[in-house]
Amino acid sequence: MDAENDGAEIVSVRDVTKSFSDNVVLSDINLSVREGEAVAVVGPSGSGKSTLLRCINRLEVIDSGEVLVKGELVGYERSGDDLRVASGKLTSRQRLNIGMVFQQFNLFPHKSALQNVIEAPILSRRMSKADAIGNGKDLLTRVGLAERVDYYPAELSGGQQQRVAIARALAMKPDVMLFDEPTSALDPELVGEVLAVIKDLAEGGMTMMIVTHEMQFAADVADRTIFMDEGRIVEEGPSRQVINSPSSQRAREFFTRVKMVDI
Amino acid sequence: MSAQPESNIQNGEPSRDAPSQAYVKKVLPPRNRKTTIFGVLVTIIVTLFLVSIAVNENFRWPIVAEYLFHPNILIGIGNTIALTAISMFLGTILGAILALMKLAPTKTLRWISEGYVWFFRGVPLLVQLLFWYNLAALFPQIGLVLPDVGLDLTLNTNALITPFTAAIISLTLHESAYMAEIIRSGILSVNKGQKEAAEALAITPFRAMTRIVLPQAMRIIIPPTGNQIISMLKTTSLVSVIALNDLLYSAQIIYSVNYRVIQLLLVASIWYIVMVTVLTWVQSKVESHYGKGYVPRKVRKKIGR
Repeated sequence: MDAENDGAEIVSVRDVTKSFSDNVVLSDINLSVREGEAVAVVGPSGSGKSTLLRCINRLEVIDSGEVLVKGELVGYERSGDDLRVASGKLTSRQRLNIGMVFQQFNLFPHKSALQNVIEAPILSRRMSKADAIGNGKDLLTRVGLAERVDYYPAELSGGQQQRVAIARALAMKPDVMLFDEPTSALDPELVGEVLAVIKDLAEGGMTMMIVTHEMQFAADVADRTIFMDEGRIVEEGPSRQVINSPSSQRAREFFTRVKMVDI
Repeated sequence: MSAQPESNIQNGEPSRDAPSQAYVKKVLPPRNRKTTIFGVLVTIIVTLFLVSIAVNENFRWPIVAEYLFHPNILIGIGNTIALTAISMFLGTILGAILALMKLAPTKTLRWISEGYVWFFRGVPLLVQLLFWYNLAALFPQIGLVLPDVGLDLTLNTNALITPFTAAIISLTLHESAYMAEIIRSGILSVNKGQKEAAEALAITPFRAMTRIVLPQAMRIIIPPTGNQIISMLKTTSLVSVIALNDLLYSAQIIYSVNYRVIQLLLVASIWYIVMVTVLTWVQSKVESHYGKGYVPRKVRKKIGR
């Protein structure tokens, strides 16, 4: 669509359907994210946006369709025309290049900030401990936490914890970062410091998908915004266009309701 | 409100030249007078009791002292410790496997684990001890025979099942059923987001369990496990029924000859209490290790956790 959207396709979601018992949470989802693109996913709660993100690294198993990251399946093996859920080991290998940041941070509480960041590179990337520590300290410095490397999560503020979580995901040198409502659990005055880090990453060319309720942030930082409602993609396009002048009725109602202060 | 306080308030502020209305300088802790009285009473009663035991000639303390370090008693202590350590160690490993099986998504594994726990929690330990000890009466030979291959791995059951092995098998099987439930509840106490975070970081499920989930579950697992070890230490005394010379049985052998029943039971009790005291101290150290990241460092130091 866009002139800047000519990078390689990193994330491809094709005809994905997913339901929890009788409740259809995703129906016929198709989307792609190209290299260097920042895509915001917005919509009312229960619209399936978090589930969509969690389907990309197979934290949720889909019912049908397929999800590819850099052309490879994640967490599945082909079995004739079908997909079969892959073993834990294979799934881990396929997840190496996908970073994820959670709403509740999910830092490992028994490990210090630095230990949180170096754990996966050492275990999964087989990085040497010295390299992992060097790289980890660089990343913590980059998110503004050079002074806090030896602190345990309980000794950090929510904003600091989320920045450690971002550094932890970046330590795996991912091809794409998935942000699942990264600021929703934060006190209002701490939201800015986390958004600044994400904005910085986006400007540095990191491919990312961000599920968020911060409309101004989406408009400013995301190249593209996807509006979801009731498990479907209702509208998709350049962020300012989708957020400022949505074409669908449902999107117009939603954006009016979230009352953007100024864009 | 009475008129007096009002008279001391001018322009909505308490007057400064009225000492009776001055700001509170210090808040004192509650008095707890009744607790103090209770404490004093208990101390008096316990002291009187201890004195009456100490000066009572019928206890014959010199004999207790004489047997406290008797070689057979010391061997008994060694056996009690060995039985407790080995069966707790094996029981915990088996219990962890059973816990993981019960939490597995596959129904088959769940049923096997549930059946095991149901059975071994149901059968009294004493019955198990006697059963394993008398296994030879039911199966004189144990082994694998494959005539076609010419394989014959049979062993005489009596040679295989000594009192010690019978005790270890019974205690381990019994303990693992309890440990399975303790470990399972520990794992369930860890937020689901921890496993997801580990998996999202491409950490394999096995490593996520051993490096991320279990260390956090330890906080919940350790206190009841300490309880189990302490309970096990004393439960091992049941092995006296199969003539295994643990601490209690060693004391029994001595008093069956010299009839100093009370004195030797006191010797055994003193040693059990000493061992439990050491275990309690070790438990508090282990708990503080796994409290890392939960209790702020300063507080941890202060309360010695």
